[in-house]
Amino acid sequence: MPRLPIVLAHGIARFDILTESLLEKLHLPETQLSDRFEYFKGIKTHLEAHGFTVSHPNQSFAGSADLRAEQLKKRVNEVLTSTGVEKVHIIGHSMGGLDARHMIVDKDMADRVATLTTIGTPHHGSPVADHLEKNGGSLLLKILGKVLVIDGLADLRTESCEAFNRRAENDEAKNPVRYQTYSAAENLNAIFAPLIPAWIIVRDHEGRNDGLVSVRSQQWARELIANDGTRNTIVQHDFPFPADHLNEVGWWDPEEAINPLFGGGLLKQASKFEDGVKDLYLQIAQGLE
Amino acid sequence: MTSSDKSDRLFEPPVRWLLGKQLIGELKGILLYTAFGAKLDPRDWMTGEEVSFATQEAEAKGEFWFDYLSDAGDGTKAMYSIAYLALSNLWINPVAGSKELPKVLPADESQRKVSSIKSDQLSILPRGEFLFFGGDTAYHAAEYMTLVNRIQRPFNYAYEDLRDNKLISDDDPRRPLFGIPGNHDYYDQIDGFRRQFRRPIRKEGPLPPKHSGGNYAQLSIPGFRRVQEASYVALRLPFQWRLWGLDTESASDRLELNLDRRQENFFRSISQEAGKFKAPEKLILATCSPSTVFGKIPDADDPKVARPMKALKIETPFLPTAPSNLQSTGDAQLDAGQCRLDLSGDVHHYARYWGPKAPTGSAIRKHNKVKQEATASSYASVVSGSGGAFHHPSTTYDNEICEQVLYPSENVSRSAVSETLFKFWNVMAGGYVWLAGFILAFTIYFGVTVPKSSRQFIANLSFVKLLEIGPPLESSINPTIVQPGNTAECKSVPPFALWTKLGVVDRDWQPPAGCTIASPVYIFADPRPWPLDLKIGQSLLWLSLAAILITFYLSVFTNKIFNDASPFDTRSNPDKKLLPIILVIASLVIVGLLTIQPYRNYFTPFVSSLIVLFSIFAAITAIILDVRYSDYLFKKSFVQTDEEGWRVQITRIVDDYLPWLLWVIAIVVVGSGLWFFGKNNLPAYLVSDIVFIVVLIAAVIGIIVLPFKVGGDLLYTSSKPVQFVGKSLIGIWHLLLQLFVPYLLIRNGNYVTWILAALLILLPIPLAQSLLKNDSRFGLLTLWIGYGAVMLALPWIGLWLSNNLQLSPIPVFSSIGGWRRLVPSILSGVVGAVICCLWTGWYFAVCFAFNGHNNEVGGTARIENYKEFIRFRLTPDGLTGYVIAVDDVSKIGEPKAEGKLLDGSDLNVKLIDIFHLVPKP
Repeated sequence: MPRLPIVLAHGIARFDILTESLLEKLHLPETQLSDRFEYFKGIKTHLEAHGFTVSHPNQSFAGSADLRAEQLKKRVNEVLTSTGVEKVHIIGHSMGGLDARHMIVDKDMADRVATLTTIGTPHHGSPVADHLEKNGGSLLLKILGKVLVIDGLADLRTESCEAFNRRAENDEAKNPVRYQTYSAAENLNAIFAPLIPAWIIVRDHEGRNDGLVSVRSQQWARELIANDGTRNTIVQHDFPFPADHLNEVGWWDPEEAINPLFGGGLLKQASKFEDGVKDLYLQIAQGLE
Repeated sequence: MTSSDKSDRLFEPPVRWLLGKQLIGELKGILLYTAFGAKLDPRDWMTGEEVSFATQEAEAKGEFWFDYLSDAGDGTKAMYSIAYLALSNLWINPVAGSKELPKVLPADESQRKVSSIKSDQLSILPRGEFLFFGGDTAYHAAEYMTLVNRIQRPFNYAYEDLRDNKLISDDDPRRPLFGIPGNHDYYDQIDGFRRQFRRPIRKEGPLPPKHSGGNYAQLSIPGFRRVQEASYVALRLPFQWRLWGLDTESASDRLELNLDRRQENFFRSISQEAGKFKAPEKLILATCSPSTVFGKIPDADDPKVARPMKALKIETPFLPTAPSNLQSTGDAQLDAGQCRLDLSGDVHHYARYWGPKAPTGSAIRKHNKVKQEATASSYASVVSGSGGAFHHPSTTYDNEICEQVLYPSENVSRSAVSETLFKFWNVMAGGYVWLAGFILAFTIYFGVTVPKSSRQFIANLSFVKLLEIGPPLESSINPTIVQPGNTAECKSVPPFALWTKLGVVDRDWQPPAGCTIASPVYIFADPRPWPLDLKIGQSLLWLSLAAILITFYLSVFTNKIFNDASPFDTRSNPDKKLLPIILVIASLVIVGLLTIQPYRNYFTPFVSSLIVLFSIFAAITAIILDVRYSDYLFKKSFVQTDEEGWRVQITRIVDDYLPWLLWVIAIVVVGSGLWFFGKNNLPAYLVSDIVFIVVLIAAVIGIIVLPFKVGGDLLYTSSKPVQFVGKSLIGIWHLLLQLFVPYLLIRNGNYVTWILAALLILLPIPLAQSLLKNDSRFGLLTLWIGYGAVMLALPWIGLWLSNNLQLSPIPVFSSIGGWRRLVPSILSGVVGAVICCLWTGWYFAVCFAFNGHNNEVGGTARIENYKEFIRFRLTPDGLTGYVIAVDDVSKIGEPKAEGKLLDGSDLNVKLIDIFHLVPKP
């Protein structure tokens, strides 16, 4: 049986939107080089080099989980059509994991997804979204919202996530999808500098975190139990080395230089770090069969 | 030699300051000095030595004479006159009832006459033992040929005439000549100065009329020999007097102190007492620039005057020790036994501050508000810059300290200037400024009426439509590169993907119905609201333009980004500012261009040209940043650091790649500008649009900035907000007149208008002259505004008049097509050449009435009269300066009776000041 295709689902506010749009504008074919500027940094080509079929969906920048789930569904169906198989594996980072869960539960896709691996996904929401909401962020968002679509942020509040968890648990416990989570954390001294304020907020509310999402939230739950007692176990993994939210998709930052795992000059360290992340994704992919 | 031989004498008029031929020729030297003056320090060859005149023989005579002049070598009739007087003994009225020389200026004007004809009744002012040039030896730049034409030749003529008049003899020993350089010497990197003043290797040349040949030194001046070995001078004079001439014009290796260490050490070494430096008690200090001038309290940080004096530990009696307290200046700062005279030129009139009160009788300044009198018996500061150079008006006055003597007086100076400024033909004769006027008027008319691209843009501006001053509207303007027959329908426009992903727009933009490739409906002509992403893209580009302008300004004109601090100082690192600036601006530009790019077929061709120009400007800014950053990196390359850690590593990576990144950005931006937006236009339109807009922007910036950057003390006595508003309004009105008057006259004028215009460029001259002469500044301002408004409205006045007179009201060039469209453009240029000179004169005159543009007014008026120099007498009891002036030099060389020519002996010479300083008791 051939390996099922893998879909890499990106999170909210993808930081590579500019390079992404630019590459699209210039009609450049995807190469190993262009993949180095992707959200999942160099991961697609790395997996492909090992014989996997991988695709990148492109969801709304900050649209609601529902909208993004719809777009993800469209993309998954395209993959299924083009490859002619029944199911896909989804690896979702950050909100990408939530999008996939929404899709599975609300968009009638439970039979189309073999596994869902979430990395750094805020299954219980992020106090950062709550904080933004409370501290005048809503006014700013309201203004921005006149021009941009940014409903997605509201779906990351702890309250909304818990509501979704309660609503979805019955379905998720019963459906055939296998779930696993990877959770990462990093200390304050190695966190990517712009994430420091958010790291502090999450620590104060929920303890250990990756700069945006607490480990507890990333881990989701040990098992899901349906009304009728059906159980679906969630396999919980730890990220193999300390990582912040962006490190989880292969983006290195100079603060990582403090990490003794990767010695040498800066560029060398960065490249070793990336290799470490790519290998992790390869391991995940290889474990998906 | 007979006088008939003198008829072929060559007298040159004062130099042309308004972009004259010689000025343009010397421009590269001027620019070189302006840009790199501090680096190319030409004082390196020098070994100063003190020259002594303090012999027992000299002291036994009981008096010692020398001559000082400054700012020479301009109009040669003026130079001739001063040379004639400086080479000769002169005679004045003694104090009544004795043979004593006066020590104050006689109150009776008739007693002030100076005779250049030997007389036994009068007392002699003997020719000085040496002649000292106080800076700015010749104009515009004191280089070899200028010195030949404007110094050597008039001195030769003067010498010949004195010899004919038996006042000098070829047997008289040559006397020493000294000089210090001013900025105009440095414009030739003091090469001409060196030739003119350094001790020559070959012997001093033959006396005129023979020409010096290969055996003789160049630039020899009859009656004088050169002895200097440095650009600075130290003279030991009788009666313990010292004359020090500093060379403080050019910046040195030290910031803000134009005194190189070698020079400083020299002066320290020659005045020692008990092994330590002690400033001479009786000191005449010559500098290239005055401490006190235009009634302004001097700047304590002036790198040319105050700072070098402080560095040498010489007193600065011109600086009040308490703010604005003139009682704390002058004598108050000297010790017993000290006597001090500050001498300089640079400003081309005579003004004495401090020193004894002169019995002039009338107030020096009409608008004087300074209540404190600044007099002194042991200190004076003298500006004496009329040794040949054009007249700088003496009316400019900053009301902080009042002169004791001023020559020529405010009224004389003002009326001399008012005679010339309003006559536009004088301004035209002042240089190629008319050519600038031609280019501006031609470019505007051409750009507005000829190229399809800019014509379309201008014709659709609302104020142009309203006033009917634009080119005739055409029914449609097609893209310049599309075949006219192409009737394919316009395609829908997919926006830049970024904006769909961000949810800003969710669908393609549909061109309006009826739009075809060959005749698109341009976005501004399409009444529907613009798509949101196009608005955002446009805002991003405007934002980036503002950011680029600010960056350009900060990096070129300030040290906010590149602070020029030592690279050993970690705070000097510009990376921290540069990197965010570059990343932000580059993102704005790239995203902005990519956003508007899909709509490019619906931009008018002119807007496409503007976007190409924008990309060129962005690239130029990137390259300038690169050049400045490379300067910093060069210095930094000598800094070794042992520090490690990722910050140091990142800095190293930035240092290595940022210069390349900037070049890449420059090329990519220009490339994408041309690639995306340059393809809609024919190259000819692209070029003409860019030239049109660049000339327009240059004119706007240049004319608006003029009163701020060059205006001098314009509105100096007003408060800062009034200054700002006043300068802005003057600049804007001047701009409107320069831009629109020539254009409107040609575009909308009929024959009646033209006749009116021809009358009106002459009619107001007498009224304007009389207003300026009588110092009616608001009268002149009102006249300027009214006159300008009439000139702007002239086409409509002409129209109204011709309707009433039942003449044809139709503008002369109302319907004209094809190549003939060039005719009005050229005519507009010709009119612009005249009108430009007209408004330049008016603008200077109005600014002049409000205390500004002194230097430019002087340079435009080119008044050769009102020359003076000083003959000094040292005696055991003190120093006396006899300031000898001649009001009118214009008749020199003209024929007089008996077939002779008017020469120096016909000059009407007078004393304008006598000041006597004694050591402080």
